[in-house]
Amino acid sequence: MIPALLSGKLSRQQENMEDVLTSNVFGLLRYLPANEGLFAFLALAESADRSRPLSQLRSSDSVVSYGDYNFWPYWNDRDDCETCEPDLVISVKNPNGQTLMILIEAKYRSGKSSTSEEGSKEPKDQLAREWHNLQVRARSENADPYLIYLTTHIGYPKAEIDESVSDYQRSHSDPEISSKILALSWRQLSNVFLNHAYPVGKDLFALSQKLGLVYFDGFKPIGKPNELGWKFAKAPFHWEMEAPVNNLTWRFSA
Amino acid sequence: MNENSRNIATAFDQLRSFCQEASLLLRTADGLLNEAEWQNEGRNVTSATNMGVDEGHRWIPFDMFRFYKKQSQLHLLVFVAVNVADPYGDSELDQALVTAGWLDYGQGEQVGNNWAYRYARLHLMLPERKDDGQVRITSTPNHPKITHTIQRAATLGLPIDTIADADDLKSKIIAPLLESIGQMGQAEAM
Repeated sequence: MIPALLSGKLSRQQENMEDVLTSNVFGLLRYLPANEGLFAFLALAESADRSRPLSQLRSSDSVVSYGDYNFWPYWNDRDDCETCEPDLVISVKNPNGQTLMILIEAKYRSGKSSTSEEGSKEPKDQLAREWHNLQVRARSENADPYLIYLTTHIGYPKAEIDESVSDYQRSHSDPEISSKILALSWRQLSNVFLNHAYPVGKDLFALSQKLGLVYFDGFKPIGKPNELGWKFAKAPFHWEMEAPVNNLTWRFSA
Repeated sequence: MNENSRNIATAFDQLRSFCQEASLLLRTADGLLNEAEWQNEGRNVTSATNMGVDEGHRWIPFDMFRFYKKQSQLHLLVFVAVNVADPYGDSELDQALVTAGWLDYGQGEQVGNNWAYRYARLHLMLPERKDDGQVRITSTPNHPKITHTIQRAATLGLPIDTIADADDLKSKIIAPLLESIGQMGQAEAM
């Protein structure tokens, strides 16, 4: 799909589909050594205090196999949680052997699919619902849960994450949540894969450029075009007509 | 191909690239200010443009900007702008600038809708302005284009090519801007 996108073969609508982007990027990341791709990207996810708890993965040698990626799981099997369908759940092991269960909710040109509802007993905000499900599942598998909100933001999306945390904390006490819901920007692809050694990495860099997923990097020098000598003649213009224009003889009759 | 024709096409390509870069700069400013709980105000990024057929000189923007308000300081209006020309010719502008500033409507007052997009040119309106990155505060700014009652205002500005990346924007423009707002808040509290 990436060559089609880079060659402009996809419609604008297809290019803008966040599922296509998620599939393109994380599908390709599976074919890179984890430290050169997936971990390098996820390590840049930030918590509310701007720390990067997943940077611990950079020193990990664990290989993420195909089976560890679970695209669009439909979680509706628990009575105590609202249904949700995150974009991707990845299980990895950190250098200490601890399993991390990382849920990725990806957005491209849209916001959260749901927000909090006044008077609701359980969280309705999309990230809050997903965090609830993730936490329950991670506990049963003795894994450490992280939720990554992957968007096109340039700064930390404080307001959106604060909303989700508040919605969750209205019905559940969880002092850890602020350090476990992380923000990551698609734009980091342009940093992670700049001058990348692998062709897959080069494709991911080209993808970030094609979609404008970049950070402000100064203003390019503007060349000095030769002095413009061209201008329109000022009105009134004089056109010489080669064919005579006959007077109109047609009338509209009621 | 005629050289002038090529130059015109090149000039417009460069202009479009410049606008994309300005867009990234302003969105970076959004991110930095949103983190400090300054929320975007107003949807326009340009003003004083006119698409009328007889207004050709106004087809291209004079500046690009973002305005911000904060719930806990409703008497302040903050802006970040890229100024490339002055539509009113009030001020000499021989180089493109990144400017920022705040307008203080006075304690107990609220900005509300009492503001105008032209305030993104505030740095150009202030007398004896200097484009050196220093924040300068002006009491009761007086300019015919400032049509609301402002108690004081502050601006800073730098030539655009001194802002090489997001870190420069943060350290040279946003940080001094927020610091001056913080100092003003402390002075008010005393």
